[in-house]
Amino acid sequence: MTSAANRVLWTVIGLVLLAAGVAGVLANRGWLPGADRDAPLLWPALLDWWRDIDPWGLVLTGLLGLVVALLGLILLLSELRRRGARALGELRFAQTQPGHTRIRGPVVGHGLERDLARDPGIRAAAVVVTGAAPAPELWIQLDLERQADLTAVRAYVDAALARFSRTYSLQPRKLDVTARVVGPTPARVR
Amino acid sequence: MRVLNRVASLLLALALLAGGLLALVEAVLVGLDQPALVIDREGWYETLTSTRFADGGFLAVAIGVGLLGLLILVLQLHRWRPTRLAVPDAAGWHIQRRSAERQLASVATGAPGVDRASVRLRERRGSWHPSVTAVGDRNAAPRVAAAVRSELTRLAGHSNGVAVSMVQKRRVS
Repeated sequence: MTSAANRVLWTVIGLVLLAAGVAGVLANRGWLPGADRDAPLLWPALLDWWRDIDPWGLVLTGLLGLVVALLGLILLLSELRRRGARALGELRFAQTQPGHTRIRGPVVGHGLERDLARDPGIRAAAVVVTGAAPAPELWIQLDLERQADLTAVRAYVDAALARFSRTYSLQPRKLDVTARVVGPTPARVR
Repeated sequence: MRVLNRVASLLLALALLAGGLLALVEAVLVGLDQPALVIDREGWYETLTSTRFADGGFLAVAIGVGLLGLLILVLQLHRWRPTRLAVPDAAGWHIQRRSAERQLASVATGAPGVDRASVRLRERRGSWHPSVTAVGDRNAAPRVAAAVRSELTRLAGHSNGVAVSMVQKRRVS
């Protein structure tokens, strides 16, 4: 689930809890229309009603439990699922001579990662290629050395992307680079 | 906050899954005339039919639930700081905000007369605006501003105004 979706979910939960709390306080003070402050929280004749509808009360409880468990499972799976668009599938290069070349999608990104990491200003690179050939989307995360020259790094990335495009005959339609400056803070001499 | 929301959602999902399965199993056990697994079949009913809306315990729980809801709402509606900042004049490029703040703080700390510094970065209309809080000599403010401005140019390709707030180091007598 995306960060925005989680935010909406918890905003709704917050609103529901706040409304329940306010309603509870109003009922306690006797200010809630239609609620008797001296009445018990649960309707005392519920037990009789439960016995009257037997066995449908049990079936209803079981079904309700199943629905709640399914909601929990859906939420769990959506939280654990990898977010973002679909990863690039296999690339196929048909040749004029007999035979053809097939390249698995993740390999394409690993090649670019190795190329990027050759720059002395880049300590590590992670590349995710999504979408479809010949115009995929590139998501690049770079760990930069503290003293890296960003202009030079950007120029190197552009050159690496040009090599990438030539090698795989891909023209990325979207480029998203997130750089993080890493490295130990130098010790101060006093 | 993003991580906290994610962890809370995971816990909520697990609670719903466990609670739902428990209700299902307990219903089946009642149907088979078997003893309860966890739930006290008589106890919860007696508690809820003997507690009144006017009771102090109910009021305390209602206030607690309301305050929890209010806290969650405030946390969600409060403006969150971005995890990354767009690099001006470099389409598609971003820098992780915290790493940039650490880097600028490190540079500010390296200025003569500064003991330590912290930096908060804000992005407004496509440019970065750092606020530096440094502990040390009050006269060091221009040196801090110059150092941060220079580093900002290296990171973002330009340097806007740098707000520096110097805090005098306390003397231990």
